[in-house]
Amino acid sequence: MKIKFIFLVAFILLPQFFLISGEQKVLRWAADAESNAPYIFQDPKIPSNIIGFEVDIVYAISEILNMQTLFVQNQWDGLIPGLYRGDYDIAINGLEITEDRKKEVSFTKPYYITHEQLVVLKGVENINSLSDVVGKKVGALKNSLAERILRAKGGIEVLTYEGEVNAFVDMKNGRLDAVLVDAPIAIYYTAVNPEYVMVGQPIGEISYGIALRKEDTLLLNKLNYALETLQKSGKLREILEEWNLWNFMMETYLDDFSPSNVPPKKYQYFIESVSKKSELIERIDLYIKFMPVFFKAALITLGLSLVAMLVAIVAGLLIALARIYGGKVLSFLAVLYIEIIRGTPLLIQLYIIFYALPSVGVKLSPFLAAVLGLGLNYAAYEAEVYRSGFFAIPRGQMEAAISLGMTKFQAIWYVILPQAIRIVIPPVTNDFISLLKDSSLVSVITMIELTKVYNQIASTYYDYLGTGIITAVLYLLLGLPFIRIARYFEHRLAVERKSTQDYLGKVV
Amino acid sequence: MSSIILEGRNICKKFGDIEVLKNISFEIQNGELISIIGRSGCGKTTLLRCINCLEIIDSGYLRVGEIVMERNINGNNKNDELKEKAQKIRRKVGLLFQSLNLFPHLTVLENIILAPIKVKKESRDVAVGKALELLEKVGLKGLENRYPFQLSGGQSQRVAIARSLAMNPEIMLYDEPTSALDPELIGEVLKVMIDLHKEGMTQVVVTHAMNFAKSASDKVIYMEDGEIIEFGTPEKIFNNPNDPRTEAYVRLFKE
Repeated sequence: MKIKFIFLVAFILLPQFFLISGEQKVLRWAADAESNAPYIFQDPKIPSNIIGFEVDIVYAISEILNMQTLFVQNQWDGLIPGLYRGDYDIAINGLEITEDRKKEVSFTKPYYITHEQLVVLKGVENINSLSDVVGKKVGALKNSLAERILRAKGGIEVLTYEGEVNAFVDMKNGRLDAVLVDAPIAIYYTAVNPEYVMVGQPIGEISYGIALRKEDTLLLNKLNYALETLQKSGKLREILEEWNLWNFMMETYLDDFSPSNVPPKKYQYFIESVSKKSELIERIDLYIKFMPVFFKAALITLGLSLVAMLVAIVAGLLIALARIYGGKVLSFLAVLYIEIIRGTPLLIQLYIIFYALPSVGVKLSPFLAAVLGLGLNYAAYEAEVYRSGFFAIPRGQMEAAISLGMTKFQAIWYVILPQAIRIVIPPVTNDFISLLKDSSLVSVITMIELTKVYNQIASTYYDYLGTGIITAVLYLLLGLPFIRIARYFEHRLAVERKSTQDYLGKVV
Repeated sequence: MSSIILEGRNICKKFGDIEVLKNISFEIQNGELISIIGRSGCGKTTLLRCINCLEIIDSGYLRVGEIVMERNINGNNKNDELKEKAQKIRRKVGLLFQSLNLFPHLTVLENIILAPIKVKKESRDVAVGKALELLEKVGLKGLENRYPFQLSGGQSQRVAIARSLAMNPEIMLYDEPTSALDPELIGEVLKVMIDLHKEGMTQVVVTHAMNFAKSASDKVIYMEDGEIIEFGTPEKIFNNPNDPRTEAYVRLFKE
C-alpha cells in the first residue's frame, strides 16, 4: 500500500498537531527523506510522495495503534537531538541499535536485522571476503557498523563518506577497491547500477530499531506491542518481502522458515522507475515532473533569504551604529559580536540556535531558527559594510549638522544615514546574493529548501548531475534580479556620487 | 545701544600636548563685524570652533548672550552639564565652514528647513516660508529645488548662510568662507555678510581676505601662536600696530 505524504504541507500543518499530541492520537515520526531506497525516499514517479519499507512499517504500526501519522522531515544527523527538541515522538530511519545510542534514547525491539555487504566493480575477481581487502582501500559510511568492522579488522585503509553514492562513485573513479555498506543499500544500488556487484558472505549483524525519548515508556510499550503484532500476523514479513528485504537473519529472528510467497513488487517498481532514466526523452519528462517540487522549494529559499536579509540589514545597522557612535562599552560589544560571528562557521551557529538553545528553554521553529541564524550571521557582515559607508561621509557633514543645533542622533538619522545607505546599497545587494546561496546550509536544521529537495531527488535517482544542474539554474534565476538591482544602483550611484564628489571636492 | 554679546576670558585649549589657545580673552559688541587674521596654525579656526562649542574649551570662561560656559583647569564640570551648555550655545551661534557642507542628498530648500523643523519644531509651512525669504535675501531666489551639486561654490556658501540664518542665530561665525571659492565668486558671499552687518548681525570672520578685513570690519583681531596679539580697529591694526609681530604680518600684504 502506498502512503501519500505531501510533506511540505504537513510541515506547515505541524503546529496544529501540538494541540492534540497530548492525547497521543498522532504519531509524529521523523526521518530524512534523502536517505535513499529502500528506507525512506521520494517516489520516483510522484516526487512529492515519500515511500520506503520504513514508511510502510510506520503506517502498519499506526493502524494497529489506531493513531494518525505525521511525517516530520529531519536531517539524519539530527534525528536524536530532534527527539529532545520535541519536534516529533519517534525516529525511524536505519538507526542501528547501539550501546552508545541507548544511553541517549530508548529503542524498540528490532524491526529489521541485516548485515554488511561488500560491493566491488564488476569484473573484480580478487575480492571475496574481508580478508581480501586487507592492504586495500575500502569505503564506508561515517560512524557506521561497516566502518567499525573495517577498523577492527586492521590493515585496511578506510575512507568514510556522508552518503553511499559518493563512495560508489569514488570506487568507479578508481579511488576505492571496495565499499562496505548495509545490505539493503547494496541490494538496491547494485540493482540499478549494473556496473557494481555484491561479493562475499554477509559480514556482521545490524539491528534497526525505532528511537524514542527515554521518558516515553508508555509509547515504547505500545510500539513494541504493535511490532509484535506485525511479526505474528506476518505483516512485517510481507512488507519486507515486497521490498525484497526478507533474509536469513529475519528468518531466524522471527523463527519463520516457510518459503516466500509475496512477490517483491515494490522493489521492482523502484528498479523499473529508476533504471529507465537513461533515455533522454524520459529523463526530461521526469525533470518536468520534478518542477513543481523544485519551484516550491525555490520559493521557500527566496522567502527565507528575504526575511533573513531584512534581519541582517536592521541588526547590522544597529551594530554599526553601536560600534561607531556607541561609546566604549557598546562599541566593545559590537566589535566582540562581529568578531565572534565572523570567526565561527555559520553551520555551527545554526546547530547552536536549533539544537542547543532548547536546552535553555528557547525553542524556535525551523523557519525562525533559519531566519535568525542567517540574519544574525549576515548582520555582522552588514555592520562592517555600513561602517565603511559611514566613513565615506565627510566629517564636515556631521559638524555642519551639529552646528545647526541638531543632536548627534538627529545628525546621524537625517544627514549621515541617508547618505551612507545610498553608498551601501550595491554591496548589501551583493551580500544578499551570497546569503541566498548560504541559505542551503539551513537544511541541517530541518528546513526543506532548494538544496534539500535537490539532495532528496538526486539520492532517489542516483542522479546528481541532471538535478544538480536544475538546482544550480534555479539559484542563478533567483539571484539574477538582485544582481540587476545591484548593477542599477551601482550605475546610478556612480553618476550621483561623481557629482557629489565634485561638489564636496571643492574643499581645498 | 552697544553691549557685549560675546565674551571670552582666559580660554585655553590643548590638542594632546600642543597648546592651541593660550589664555585668550576678548569682548565683542552686539552688531560688530570682527575679522580674525593670522598665519595658518595660529589657532584662529580653533577659537571659532570653541565659540561654537564644536570643541569644548579646556579651561576659561565663555559667554554667548546670557549663556555662560565656565571650566576651571581641574575640569571639575560634569560632562552632561557641558554638553547641555554646548547645545544651548550652538543654538545661538551659526557657523559657516570653509568647505562646502550642504547636505548633498537634500535640495536647497530641504537643506534650509531640516534644522528648523527637527530642532526648533517649526511647522513645515512656516519653515518653508522663512527659507524662501532667506533665499531671496542671499540672492538665490528660484534655486530652492536644486541639489547642491547643481550649485556653484559661491551659491553653495550663500545657501549655507541661509541655512544657518534659518535657526535665528544671534551671532554668525565664518571660517574662511571664501577661501575655497574661485576669485570671481568671492564677492557675492562677502556682499551677503556686509548686508547682514547693516541689519545689525554680530559676525566673526576668520579670513585671509585682507581687503575685506580692512574695509568691512569694525575691528580686527591678530592672532599668533595661540594668543591674541592685538585687537583694534582696522586702521590701527593695518596702519599703526602696537606690536612688532602684528606689523611684521600686515607688512606682508602691503607690497
